[in-house]
Amino acid sequence: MKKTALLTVFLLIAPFAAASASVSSMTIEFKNGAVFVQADAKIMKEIKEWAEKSGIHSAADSKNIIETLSGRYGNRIQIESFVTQQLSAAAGVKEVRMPLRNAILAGRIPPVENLSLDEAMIVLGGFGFTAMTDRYFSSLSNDMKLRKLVETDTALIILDGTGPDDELKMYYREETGEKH
Amino acid sequence: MPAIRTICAFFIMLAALAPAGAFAGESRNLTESNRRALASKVDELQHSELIRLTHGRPKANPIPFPLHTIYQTALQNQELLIRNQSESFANALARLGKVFENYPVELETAAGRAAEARFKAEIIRLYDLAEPLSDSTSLLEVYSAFENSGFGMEAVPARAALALNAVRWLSKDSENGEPPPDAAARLDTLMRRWKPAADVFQMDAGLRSLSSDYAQLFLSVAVSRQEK
Repeated sequence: MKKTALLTVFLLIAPFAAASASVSSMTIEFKNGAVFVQADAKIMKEIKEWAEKSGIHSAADSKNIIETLSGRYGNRIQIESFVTQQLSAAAGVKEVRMPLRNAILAGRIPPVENLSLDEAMIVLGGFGFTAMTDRYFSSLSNDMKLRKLVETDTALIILDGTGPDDELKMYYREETGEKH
Repeated sequence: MPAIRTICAFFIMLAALAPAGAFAGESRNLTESNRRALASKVDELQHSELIRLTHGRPKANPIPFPLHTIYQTALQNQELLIRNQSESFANALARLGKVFENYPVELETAAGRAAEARFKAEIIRLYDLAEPLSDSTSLLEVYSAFENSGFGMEAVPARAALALNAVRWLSKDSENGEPPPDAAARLDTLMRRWKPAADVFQMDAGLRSLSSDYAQLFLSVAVSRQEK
């Protein structure tokens, strides 16, 4: 009875175990992102050889790789791309960096010097800005950063601290302009 | 007849230049009055100072004191002190003008015009040394009066920018384009606040403290807006 049960379990698991053993993955990294490829070991070997021959690690961009591999292998492979491009490099986005005191003296933001970061967020939010800490902003994907910028009517303000010399980053959409 | 016309034209030109001449005369007089006040105060204090420092026993080299540089400067380089102070005044005035250029919209409001008048008067008040010098009882205080004046004037453009920035944001969403009355009263207090600074570090500390106070004002305004 016991033997029969074990045999049944083995027969049920065996195909999945075999399938998972044959699948392998690879990450192709670039300066501004990465492409993650998952496929059978045989296909993956071909892709690795192709990648080494064509020297895509240094030159090609992720879009070309996805198009090439999808055209060649169809749905036999899984591809995901990750972009780590900076927000300032996106089209229509303007970035301004300056020390916090200078931004206040130039009239770009209301005074928030020496407040806690939470208090500074309250002040900046109260005067129409979307503000966040540098740590939180860095944790966002580029798409999320863009979404945050699109959602704000004025500017996205990134604070590193509230000392006079702490760096302040402001992101504007070019169509809204530097209203502040 | 042409001679009469020339004479008339000369008088008209003199009349046109009169306001500029009056202003130039006034500013020159302020520098001159500072120069005269310094000379007379140094003259008044040097004997008592010498006796105080040497305990009444003047010697050939009578300054056994680490502050002798200040003593000598005040005694011997009066013109240096006057020139440094007038340069500080000119620099501060130029930077103040740039601050005003940066806030054209705010200077159209009553609060902005009041701030402009206040800081223009403040820079003149700081430049005028008649009162600080008359209150000085030692050469060190004479020297400190010059330092307070110089660093005070240097801080005026930043103080004006802080005030006009506050006017900008407080009047942003108001109906009449002016800061709300409760905030305006606190703003007026902040505009007046300045602790004399004898060196660049004290000036920096003063500006830091002032900027923090403006931030506290805005925090209270933002919190009260949230509660409404």
